[in-house]
Amino acid sequence: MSKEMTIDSNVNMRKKVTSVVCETLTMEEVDPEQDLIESGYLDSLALIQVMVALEEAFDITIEPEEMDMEDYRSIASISRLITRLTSESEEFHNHG
Amino acid sequence: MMIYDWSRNQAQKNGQQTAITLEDERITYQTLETESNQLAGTLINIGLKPGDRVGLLMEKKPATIIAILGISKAGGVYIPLDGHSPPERLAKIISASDLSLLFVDSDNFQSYQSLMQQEAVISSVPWIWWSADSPLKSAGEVPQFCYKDVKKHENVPHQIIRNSKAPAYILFTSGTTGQPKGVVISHRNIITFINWAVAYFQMKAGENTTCHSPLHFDLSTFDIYGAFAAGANLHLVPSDISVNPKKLSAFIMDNEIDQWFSVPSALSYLARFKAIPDGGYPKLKRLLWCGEVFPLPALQYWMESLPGVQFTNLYGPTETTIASSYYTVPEIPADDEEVPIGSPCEGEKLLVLNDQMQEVPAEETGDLYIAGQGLSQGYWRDSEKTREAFSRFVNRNGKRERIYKTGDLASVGKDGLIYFHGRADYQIKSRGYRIELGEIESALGESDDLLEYAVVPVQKQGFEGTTIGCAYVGKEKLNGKLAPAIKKRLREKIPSYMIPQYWMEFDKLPRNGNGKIDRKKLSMQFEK
Repeated sequence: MSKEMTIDSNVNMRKKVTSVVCETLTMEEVDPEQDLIESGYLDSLALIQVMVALEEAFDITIEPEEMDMEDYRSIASISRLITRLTSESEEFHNHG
Repeated sequence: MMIYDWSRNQAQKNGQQTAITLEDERITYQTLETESNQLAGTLINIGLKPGDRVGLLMEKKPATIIAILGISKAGGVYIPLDGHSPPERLAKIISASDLSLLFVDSDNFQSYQSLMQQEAVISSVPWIWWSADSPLKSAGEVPQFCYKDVKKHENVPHQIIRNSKAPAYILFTSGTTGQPKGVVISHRNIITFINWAVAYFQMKAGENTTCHSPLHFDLSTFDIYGAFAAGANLHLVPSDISVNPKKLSAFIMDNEIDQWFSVPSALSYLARFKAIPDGGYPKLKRLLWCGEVFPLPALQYWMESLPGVQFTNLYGPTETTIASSYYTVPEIPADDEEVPIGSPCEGEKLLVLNDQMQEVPAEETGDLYIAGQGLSQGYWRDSEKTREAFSRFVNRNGKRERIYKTGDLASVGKDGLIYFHGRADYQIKSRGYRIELGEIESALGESDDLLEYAVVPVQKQGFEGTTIGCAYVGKEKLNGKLAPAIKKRLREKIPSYMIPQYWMEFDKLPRNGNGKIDRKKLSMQFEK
């Protein structure tokens, strides 16, 4: 895979994360680094909604035991989490 | 007996016992007693009169509880305020309360300053800097005094009023028209419940208990005074760990909590993440909830994970003080089982009545009324709303009793226990918060880009309990694009727990036969 393609797919992934999060939380687009908890967008109920929506949109499973609040602080951190989880599931499929 | 006597007795009996813990901070019963005495003396010196209202724009901290006791000892009535509420709503509450004083801590100082600039009513209230550090530079008047000044005051056990019918606090709850209602609660109201609860739960000195609810929510009243009556160590749960299931679970474990009390949503949240460790919490003895129905799958998970623990459901609105009925769940309920709200607590009475104010036969649904020692004297300076909610009832023995109409529907089961069947009006409980859907609609009504709107309860069959849906028709059809903008504006008017989670755009809202918006149908559409 070329470097350009990776950047490109990352940009697309972040776009998709942004749209899933914004749609689930009914919010206008915010700065990807903005703290969603401190700014009041994300509480415990909203967090569960976001997790469920991400699982559906990216066909991944987020194990409750692996839940780390810090992963959900911003659009940017959620994007990093999804990148990690999707690459893990790809690896699993490749070996499986 | 007054509400400050419990901690006073503990200070005499066992002053070195820890009274309150917040992370690394601990204060003993002796410190609690001394500093609240010194504060009471200071308040009396600056002219606080019995019955004067004192607002608390402060976080849930040991110093805040010292303030509560000091105000009570000086004869004042305390009003906990939600610093996270939009300024407009806070100003309504502060102005309605006609405050003599306002306590502000360093955490709330910034919001206090912006409040002062926006709302003239705030700047006229004398304020007190209630943090251990030196006050930050204020835009307005200098504080009346600071936390540090109080420690110079003589330690005298003040008790300005000894009439337990005197009001102790006022809590503001959601009102249908957008004007929050102040529920006035007396010392006696609180004492009746605490005496029953400490005996029923067999709370003991030295136990570790929790305070999860915010102070503007009346569950915290049980946490505070229950702990002090028993001589327990009250652990304040920091609000920021509530979104973090791992930390919340570690909190119960590491602090060796004996008794936990909260709204079910906090517990459902841990259940959703299966956060209870294998082997449970060895020290935990009792788990209590109040405020709304505990979603069954979550309750089952808790009971399966913690076999030796007592699980008790408490029920009751703010108007009847903390809780009026209780039910200890004897075994893990089956999937189709309903957990009752149970039997009245000592000193209370629950009545299920029909339209003619007669008691209904067993298993028939009617309106739930409450009588007894917990009943508030009414809403603060609102005789009309007080008359609507509080009335007289002639009981079977021909005696007239004062009763409160809860607005809840209920029935008496064949087992003699009371069962809850939802609301008769547009009030809901979401995450334990009591919300008038009308208050949300009235906030929505202030935007001119909506033609029609309706806010309805949404019951998804999961861990989340009741959530809120907003159905709307925009002036222009924007395929859902309008919702984020409306939601953003709502955030400036109502607290975040009132903001609808689900939004749906319609061409027109469905109506029933008599032309009213069909709210049942809307709820069902959100629940799909």
